[in-house]
Amino acid sequence: MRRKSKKLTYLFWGITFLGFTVGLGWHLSGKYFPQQASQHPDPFFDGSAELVGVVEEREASPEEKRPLPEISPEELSFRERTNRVLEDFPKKEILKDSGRDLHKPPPELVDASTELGAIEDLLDKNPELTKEGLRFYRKCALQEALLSSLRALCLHNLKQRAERAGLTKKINWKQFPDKLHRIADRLK
Amino acid sequence: MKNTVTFILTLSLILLVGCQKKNNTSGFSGRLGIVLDSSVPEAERELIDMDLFRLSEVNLNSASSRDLQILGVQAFSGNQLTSWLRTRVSFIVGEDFDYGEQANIVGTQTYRPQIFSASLLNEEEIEQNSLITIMINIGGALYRYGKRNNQVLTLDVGGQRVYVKSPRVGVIQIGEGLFSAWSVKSSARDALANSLIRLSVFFHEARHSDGNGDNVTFPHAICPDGHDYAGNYSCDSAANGPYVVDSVMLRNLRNACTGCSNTEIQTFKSFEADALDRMLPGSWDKDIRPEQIP
Repeated sequence: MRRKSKKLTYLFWGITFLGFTVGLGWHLSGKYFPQQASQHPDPFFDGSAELVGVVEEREASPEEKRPLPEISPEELSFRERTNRVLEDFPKKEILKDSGRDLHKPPPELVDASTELGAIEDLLDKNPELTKEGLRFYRKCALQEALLSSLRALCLHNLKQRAERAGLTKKINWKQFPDKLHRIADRLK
Repeated sequence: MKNTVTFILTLSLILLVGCQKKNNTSGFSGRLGIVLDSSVPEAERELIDMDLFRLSEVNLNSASSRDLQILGVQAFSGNQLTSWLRTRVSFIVGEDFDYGEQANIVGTQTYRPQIFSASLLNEEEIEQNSLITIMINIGGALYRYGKRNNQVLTLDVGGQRVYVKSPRVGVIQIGEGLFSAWSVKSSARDALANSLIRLSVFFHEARHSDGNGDNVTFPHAICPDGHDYAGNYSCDSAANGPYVVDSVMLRNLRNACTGCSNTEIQTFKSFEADALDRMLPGSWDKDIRPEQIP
């Protein structure tokens, strides 16, 4: 009877130790070896059905910040260019300028269209830039400060490019306002 | 002596005739029956003639049944589209044309209240329009002015005195902006894309020659709060209004723009998106039949 009780004590402590070891290992692996962003090795996707923003946009403490995914010099150059383009795109605020004719489209749309045309040229010639192109169009369509017409055109381009690349299902289309969808779909 | 005087008089006459700008009825616009006033600069006349010629050559198979319904045509053929435009545009005047000076009040007119009621041309709209450097339907604006003040106006234009008795008087003013700021920068002024974009603006303005009652000249509506153009008369409450006509023409003309560059296509689409954004929710088709003072 006494031997049996001793055996049970050993068993109890054994299981406790084992459980503690496994738990500690799991905790440490989670801390020092973060899980991959998705089932896709591609940094463009986060495993959910939606496109993620660029990695550096995520909130994280400095020690937890993940390194930027490796991108080619061409992609980097494209990203830098599109970031500049986005900064320069006309905002709704310009429509408040006095002396402006609001009866016709703002002339700034012509300049923005020129930039979009150049980006479309690049994407046509360099299919490897497609994901960067989608990233740019998504950011453009989500920027509430921009002219709605421009956002709708970006959404339209996003739809067309995603369809051509077979990535339509990877995008969370619900993040874009219905009004933009309505306009974007009529630009076909 | 007599011969010398005759010679000088003849020479002066020749010089005067030679220096005087002419109202152009000889170009393609003239063949259509559209008079280009002497205030339209020569370079712009050539472009307008070219634009109208290109329109006469198109055959837009991409037009939907709804597109046909909006314009009220059987097909988007060059013939029908030029005819549609001609019905609504009779004179084209340049930026320097001073309609304040050329317009005269020649009589009073009592309007039938059941036809003419509330909302007339808005002062703010006139003020905005006075800044326009692209295109404006002066005929429609003058008609609304006369209607509001119970006056019949005439306008001296294209060497003629025209009675402004209907929004269909069809006097369109164009500005340099039509050929510069609103053109695809990387393309020449006479490039096909720029030509087609200019034509879409003509179609927009031509819709302002339609309508009756409160909706005479298809005036724009105030854009609601939250809209890019909130608080301005920059939207349409008519599902067949000028901005819709604009977007329909831009889409169909874009499809006809074979060989156009990505930049040109993006410009078409951005203008189209701008026009579509201006159609207010709950819009409905309004009566396009023009009213007329008997």
